[in-house]
Amino acid sequence: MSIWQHSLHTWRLIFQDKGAILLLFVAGLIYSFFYPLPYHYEQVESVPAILIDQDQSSSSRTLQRLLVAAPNLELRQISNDPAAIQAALWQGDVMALIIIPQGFHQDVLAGRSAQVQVASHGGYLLAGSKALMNASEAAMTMGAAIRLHKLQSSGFSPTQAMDSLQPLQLHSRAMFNPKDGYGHSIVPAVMVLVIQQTLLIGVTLLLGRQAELKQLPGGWRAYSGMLLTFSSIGLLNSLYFFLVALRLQQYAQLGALLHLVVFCLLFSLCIAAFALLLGRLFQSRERGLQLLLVSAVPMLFISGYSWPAESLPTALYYLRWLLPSTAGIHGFVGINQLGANLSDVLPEVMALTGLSIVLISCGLWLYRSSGKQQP
Amino acid sequence: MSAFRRSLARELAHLQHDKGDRFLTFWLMPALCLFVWWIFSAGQPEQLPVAVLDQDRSTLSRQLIRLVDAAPGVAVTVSADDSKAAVDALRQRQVYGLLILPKGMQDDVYNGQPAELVLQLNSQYTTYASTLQRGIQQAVLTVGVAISADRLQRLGIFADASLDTVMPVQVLATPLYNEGPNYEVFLAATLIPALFQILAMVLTVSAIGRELRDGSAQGWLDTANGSVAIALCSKLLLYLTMLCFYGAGYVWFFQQLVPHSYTGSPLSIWLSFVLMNAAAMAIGVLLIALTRNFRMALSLAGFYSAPAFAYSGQAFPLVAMPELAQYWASILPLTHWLKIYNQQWLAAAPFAAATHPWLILLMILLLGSLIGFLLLKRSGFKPENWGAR
Repeated sequence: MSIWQHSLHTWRLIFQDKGAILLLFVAGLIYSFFYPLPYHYEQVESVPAILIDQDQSSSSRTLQRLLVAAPNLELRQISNDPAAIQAALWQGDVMALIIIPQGFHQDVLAGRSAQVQVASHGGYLLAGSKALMNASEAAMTMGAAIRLHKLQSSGFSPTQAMDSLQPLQLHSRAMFNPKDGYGHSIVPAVMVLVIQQTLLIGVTLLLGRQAELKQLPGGWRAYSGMLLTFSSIGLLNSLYFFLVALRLQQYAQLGALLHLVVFCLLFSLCIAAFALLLGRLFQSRERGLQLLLVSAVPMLFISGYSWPAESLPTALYYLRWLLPSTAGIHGFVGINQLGANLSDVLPEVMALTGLSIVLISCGLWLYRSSGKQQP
Repeated sequence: MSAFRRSLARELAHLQHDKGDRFLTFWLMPALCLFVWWIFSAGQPEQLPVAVLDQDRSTLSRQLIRLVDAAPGVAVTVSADDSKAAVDALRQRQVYGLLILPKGMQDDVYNGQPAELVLQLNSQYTTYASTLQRGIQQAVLTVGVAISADRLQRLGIFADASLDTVMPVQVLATPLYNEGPNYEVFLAATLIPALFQILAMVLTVSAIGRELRDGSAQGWLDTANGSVAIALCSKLLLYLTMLCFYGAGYVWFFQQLVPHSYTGSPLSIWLSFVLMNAAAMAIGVLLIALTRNFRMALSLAGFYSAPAFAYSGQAFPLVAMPELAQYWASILPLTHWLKIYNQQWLAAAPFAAATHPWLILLMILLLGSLIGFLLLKRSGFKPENWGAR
C-alpha cells in the first residue's frame, strides 16, 4: 500500500470506531466550552470580608465608608463575637478579616502611623490578595487625605502638599490581558493540553485495538500514512480551538493568521508523532486512557506557564521541553495572546521541530517491521 | 478459603501477571506525588526576570534598580536601551515586566515634582505579573517614603515623625493558615488529591470493566459464591487499601514538610481523605455499572475527574463562578474534601465545623455504591452485556 492508502485506511478505522470519534472529535468540542465555564466572569468580583471595628470612632467610620465603596470587597456584618467570626472563616463564608484596632483614631490625631490589619485565609490566595489590594487602596486614600490636611494646615499650598508626598508614582499597565482575567490567562494554555491529550488518548485507543487484533501495521509507508492522518486531526482540532472556540468566547486574538497556521502544523505533527510512539508502547485499547488521564495536570504545571519556569528545579527546567505541550503552550499563547510572530517564538518552533525529528526517528525504528503483523 | 478471600486472591493473581495494571495500581501514584511536589519544591516564585529602561541614568535611578533587583521574586536581567527592544523582549518572554525610569526623574524629584514611573507587565502570565507587581511596588514605595521623609525633615516640619507623616494609615497583612504564601501548600498539596481522585476512579472502572470486557465476570462472581456484594467488596478493597496507604504517605509527607502550616489533626485529615477516595470509587462503580463498557466508563471518568481541579474552587474561588459551574463543583468529591483541607488541616477547625462536607462525601459514597451495586446486580452479569469495547 502507498502512504495515501495507509492514511485513508487509518481514516476508515477511525470512522468505524465510536470510541475514537468520541475522543478525537467530540471531546475537544465539549471541553472547549466545559473547561472555560468556571472562569466565565474572569475575576474575583467580590471577596466576602468582615470588618471588625474595635475603635468605633469617627476615623474608623471614615475608613469603613471607604471599604464599603471598595470595588471588590463585600463587607458582611457579623456580630463581634470571636467565635462567630472564626466559624464564618472556617466555613469559607468569609475570606478576609479587616481589623481596625482600638486606638486607631488616637493615632491619627496624634500624627502617629495608624495601623489596619488585613487577615486572609492563605489557602485561598487569589481572594486574599484581592482583599488586601482593596483594603490597601482604601487606607492609602484615607492616608492621603490626612497628609494633605496636615500639610495644608502647616501652610503648604494644596499642589505643593500633594507633590511633596508622592515623589515617585508607579503606574502599572497590564499588557496582553488588560483586565487581568484569570480565565483569559489559563484557558488558552489548557486548550493546548486538551488538543494534545485527546489526540494521545484517541490514537492509543485506536492503535491499542489494532495491537490486540495483531493488525498494527508496520513499515515506513504505514507509519507515514498514519502520521499524516493523525497530524491532520491535530491540525483540525488546533484550528478549531484557536480560530473558532477561543474567538467565540472572546479570548483575545492578536496572532497573524499565517504564523498561527504554521505553528498549528508544527504542533500537530509533533503530537501525532508522540501519539504514534505511545500507541506502539500500549498494548491494549484502554491502556492509554488508564495511564494518560492523570498526566494532564502535571504536564500543565511543568510547562512553566502557571508556575514560573524560573521556579522549576533545574532538571525540570530543561526536561520540560521533551513534552510537546510545553512548546505548544508558550508558542500558542505567544502568537495568539501576545501577538508574537514566528521569530518571536523561535525557541518554541525549534523545540517542536527538534522533538518532531527525534519522535519520528524513534517511530520509524519502532514501526520498522514491515507488514509482519498484517493478516 | 472463604468467598471473600478467594475473590481477593483472584484479583491479586491478575495483578501478578498484568504488568500494566500492576504499574497503575502500585507505582503510578507515588511517582506522580513526588513529581508534583518536585515541580513546586521552590515554594515561592523566585528570580522572575524584569527589564529596566533607564532613561534617567542618575543616582536615584541606580538606587531604584538596586532595590528592585533585591525585591522578593524579582531579578533585573536586562537593561534595555530603547523601548522597542524592551517590548520585543516582553513579547519573546525573555522578561515579563518592563520598568521605565523616565528622563529627568531625579531632577523632578529634587524640584518637588512627582516623577511618574511606568511598569508594563505581561499579565497573560499571571503568576509572573502579580509577583513582579508586588515586589516592584514595594521597592518604589520604599524609595518614595525615604525621599518624602527626608524632604519633610529638611523643611523642618514633622522633624521627629516623618515616616508616620508619609504613611498615616498603614495596612498590616497577616495571612492566616498559610503564611508565606507557600505554593507547596497552596498548589502541590491540593493538586495531588485531584490526581488521587482521577486514579481512584480509573482503578475502580478498570477492575470491574476488565471483567465485563473479557467476559470473565461470571468467573469473578463464582469465586465470590455468587454474591455480587462480596465480589465487589473483595475486588475494590485491594485498591482502596492502596489508596489509603498512599494517602497516609501524602498526609505524612506534607505534614513533615511544612509543619507550621498544617496545624490540624493529621489523623482526621487522613480519614477524610480515605472517604474522598472511597466516594470517587463509588462514582467509578456507578459509571461502569451504567455503561457496562470499559472504554466508555473510562472516558466518562476522565470527563468527570480530569478537569475537577479547575472546578474545585481552590485556585479560582467558587463564589466567583457561574451558578452552573458551582452545581457541577458540588457533585465532585474533591470540592468537598478541599474544603476540609482548608478548614481542618490548615485552620485546625474542630471536627464539628466540617460535618457538612463529611456528610456530603458520605452521601456520594452511599448513593454511588448503592445504585452502582443494584445496576451491576441487575444487568452486569448477563453475557449479552459483555465484550463491549
